[in-house]
Amino acid sequence: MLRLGSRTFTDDQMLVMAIVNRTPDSFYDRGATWEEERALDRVHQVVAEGADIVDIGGVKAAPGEEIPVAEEIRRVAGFVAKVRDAYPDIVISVDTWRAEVGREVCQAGADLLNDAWGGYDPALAEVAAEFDVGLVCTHTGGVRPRTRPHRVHYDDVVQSAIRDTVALAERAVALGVDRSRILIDPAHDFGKTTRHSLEVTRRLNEMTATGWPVLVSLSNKDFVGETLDLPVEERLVGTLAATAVCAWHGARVYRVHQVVETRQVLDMVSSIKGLRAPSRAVRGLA
Amino acid sequence: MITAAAVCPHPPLLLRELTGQHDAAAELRAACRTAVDRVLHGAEHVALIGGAPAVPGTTRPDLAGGLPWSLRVGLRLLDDAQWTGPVELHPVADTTPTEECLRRGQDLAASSRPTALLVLGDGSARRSPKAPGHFDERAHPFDAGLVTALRSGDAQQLAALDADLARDLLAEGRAAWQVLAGAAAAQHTPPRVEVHYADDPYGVMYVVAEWRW
Repeated sequence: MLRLGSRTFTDDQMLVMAIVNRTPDSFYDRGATWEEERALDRVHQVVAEGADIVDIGGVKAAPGEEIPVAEEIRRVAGFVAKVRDAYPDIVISVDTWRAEVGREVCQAGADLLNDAWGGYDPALAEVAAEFDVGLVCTHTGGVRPRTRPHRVHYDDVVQSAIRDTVALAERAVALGVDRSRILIDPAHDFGKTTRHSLEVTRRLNEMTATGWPVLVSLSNKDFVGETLDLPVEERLVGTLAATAVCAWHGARVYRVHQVVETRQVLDMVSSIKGLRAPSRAVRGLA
Repeated sequence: MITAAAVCPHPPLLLRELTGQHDAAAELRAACRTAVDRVLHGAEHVALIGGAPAVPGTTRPDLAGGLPWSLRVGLRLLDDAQWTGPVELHPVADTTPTEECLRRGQDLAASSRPTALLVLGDGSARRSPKAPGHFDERAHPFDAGLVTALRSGDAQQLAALDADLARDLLAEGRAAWQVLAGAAAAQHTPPRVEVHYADDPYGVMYVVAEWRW
């Protein structure tokens, strides 16, 4: 059972987490939702499309202009409050590694702290415990936030991801975070080569076997682009192929740009697994 | 003694668990439910009559793979109506000649128990290019005759349905309807009839009717 905000999800539900960037420079949308009105429009759209979670971020993952804490708070905290006002029951996640930001967004109504940089700021988990919100525990191989992988090496990337994320999850529990509100994320591309991300995808069942609910963030990432030699705007099909494999292996939450397409893939895989009835079944039965 | 007969189609779609999240046969199932409820009222005994594939080269129903769809659906309709009384199953091989079907109907009518018949049968499955059996121009006239017979309580017209044509048109109700024709012919009066459904939403003709005496 997974609990996020006021919602409870059964073990066979797969959830779509829609990315909403309050950034001028993120790799995929390139500032499309930098203006608050555009970002709110994006929230309305993804909620209408069936997103279960919105993941609001104020700092792009790639290296670039340094964003001070106060600026990150300015970008996301007020916006979280507006989304909360508009949608009392939607699960609101905030993509941040900083405890100070976490505290502000929790006060504004966030339900989940998406610590995309692998516990770089150890106080973030304490904030999750203090506000009784959820926490995403990610694997980066120990790199600093907003750095690109450079000549990284793992003896076994999957074992490393499992060891680090489970350790972060257990630490969070020890700090008082509700066990049913914690997710682990192998963090494709973060501290990883393309082959590492492919291997993590191929062996994702080893991560789901830990029993912790697994979040995957695959959407239009470089490992898809390098695998297919395609620019960022042409990676949807590759993303959805990876999504299907992760769904087959039992991942629970999918952080995405394209909600509708992802939902279709998840529904299809869920039906192939026998967990979801077809929407309408007439063929051969009339 | 036959008290009444409900005529229902038997597409697997009537088993709710097969139709998916959206119920593709809700209206049809409701019509069947109405007919069955009304026909069961006052009955002490139910005879379930449904077509079945034949053991090759014979007129015996092939039950090696379990009950045919007709009887499975019929039993479900009885369950849905919360029928708990005795039920007799009468699978009728689709190769059974008309004369034999009529005779079996007469035998049922000769029973001393007040018996309700639940007769499971489908019309042609070749009513349109997207129908399971594609389009056959003979399908509509065949089904029109069938619907007229069921609407008018006309046992003779049911008895006149052509077995070879029915087989060509994938009309799986012919043998069962002719058992009904035999039973109806043995009654002293013509039935009062109500038709609850006659449509082909998926290219197969479904008719739900109620005959009472």
